[in-house]
Amino acid sequence: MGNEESVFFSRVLTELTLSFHIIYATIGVGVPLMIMIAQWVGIKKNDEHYILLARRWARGFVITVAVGVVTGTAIGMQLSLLWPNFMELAGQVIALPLFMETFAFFFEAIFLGIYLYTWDRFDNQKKHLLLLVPVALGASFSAVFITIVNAFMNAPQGFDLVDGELVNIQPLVAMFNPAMPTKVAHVVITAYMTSAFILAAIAAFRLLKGSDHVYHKKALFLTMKLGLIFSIGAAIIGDFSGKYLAEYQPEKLAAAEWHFETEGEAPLMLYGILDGQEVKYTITIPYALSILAHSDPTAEVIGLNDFPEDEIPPLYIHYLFDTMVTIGVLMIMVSGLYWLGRHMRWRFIHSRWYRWLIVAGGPLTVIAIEAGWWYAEVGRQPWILRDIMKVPEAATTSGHVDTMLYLFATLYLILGVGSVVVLRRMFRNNPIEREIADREAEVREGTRKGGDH
Amino acid sequence: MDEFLMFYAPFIVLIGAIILAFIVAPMDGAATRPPKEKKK
Repeated sequence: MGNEESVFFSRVLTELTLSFHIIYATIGVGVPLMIMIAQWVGIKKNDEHYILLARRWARGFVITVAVGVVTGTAIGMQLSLLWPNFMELAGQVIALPLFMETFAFFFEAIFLGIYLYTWDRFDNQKKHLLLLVPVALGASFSAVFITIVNAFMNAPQGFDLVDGELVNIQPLVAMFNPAMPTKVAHVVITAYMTSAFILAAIAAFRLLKGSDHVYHKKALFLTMKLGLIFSIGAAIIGDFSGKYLAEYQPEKLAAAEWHFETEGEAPLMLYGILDGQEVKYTITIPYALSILAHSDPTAEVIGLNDFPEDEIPPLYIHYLFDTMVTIGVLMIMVSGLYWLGRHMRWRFIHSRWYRWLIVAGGPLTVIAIEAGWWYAEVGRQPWILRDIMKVPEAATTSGHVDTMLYLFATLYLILGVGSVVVLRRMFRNNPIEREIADREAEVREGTRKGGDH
Repeated sequence: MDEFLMFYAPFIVLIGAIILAFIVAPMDGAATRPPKEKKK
């Protein structure tokens, strides 16, 4: 296998692993907060339905964590095996958040085990809820630390490169790089958003399938409200990301917007197709790119023609950006209308087509997450470490990457299908109606035993 | 201004959204309210 082939297969394997892992990682970061909010509402309102929501979500969450651990380990391994030159250089500077990510995960996993095995063991439910705080913090901080590593790849700092040697290494300076705040906040808030909409999709699906239980209505209202809050937050932080890109990675913003000439009063291009440098069939929003980049409708935005041709990212990232933004805006509208419709008692939000729209929102937000990560990674090309190391320089020269690709693809297929089958069986064999009846029987039994004494 | 939006505002929005989620979550009066009757 030639070096070009090993670079190609290394790229494909890394893309495949990240694309698969990000689904489970996103759920793993977002769902603990959803569980925590549901249990907190249950305790505050003394409402058994919310407590049951937390219990059932926690059971499903464990399956996704198990798969996330496998794929997360695969990524760690592949970073060293597929991109050894990158790890040799970057590892000296950015190893600290990589270790901290592992520590945050252990923190989460230990308390998750204790949390799951201590349901009904506390007289005071608030003490049990406290066990969830380190779980939610550990999950979110795992995302924070690993995203810091990714931010470093986009805006490396905290070291000097003298004759190919790294000197004056400052890990904290490397961690607090300019890409960090917008990237970290966007990744975390979109994980919350996606988790809320996935859980909303499940509740809407149960209502569509004939269960009219109030449990599902409460679950749907809660998750759509949370989805609305986090999707608006994601859009605001997305705007801040535009300002970061304009300042530090202007070629990425220009490629995403098919912005070729440096000019003021720059318009924003939505959708369309590209014919050479001619942009066709787009929706043009005047001044919007200047506002996105610099909060000023007349501000100058750097165009692609100011960059060397071999340092321009692939222009198809425009479609990835559009996909992410379109789904985000759609979900703000769907959840906003649902929230308003609930308060105004509008009929259409109870219709089948609207519930199907909410069901579609689950997979759609996962597609938005995938599009967002592809945009982030492809938009950094040709660099693996911006302005320092290009992707082909970082890759392994091993001749067996294609074999690894096939093996890992098989593993992900088994894990993906297996986790879906287990989750379906887990909830199909234990519908909420039965669980509520069982809980009520347990309470009656407990009361009778208590009365005998 | 852009420096504030790039470095501090993202965390303010993130933490603000989490706090808002905890404030809004218990307000579930509308969750079980039936839709308006159709006008005859």
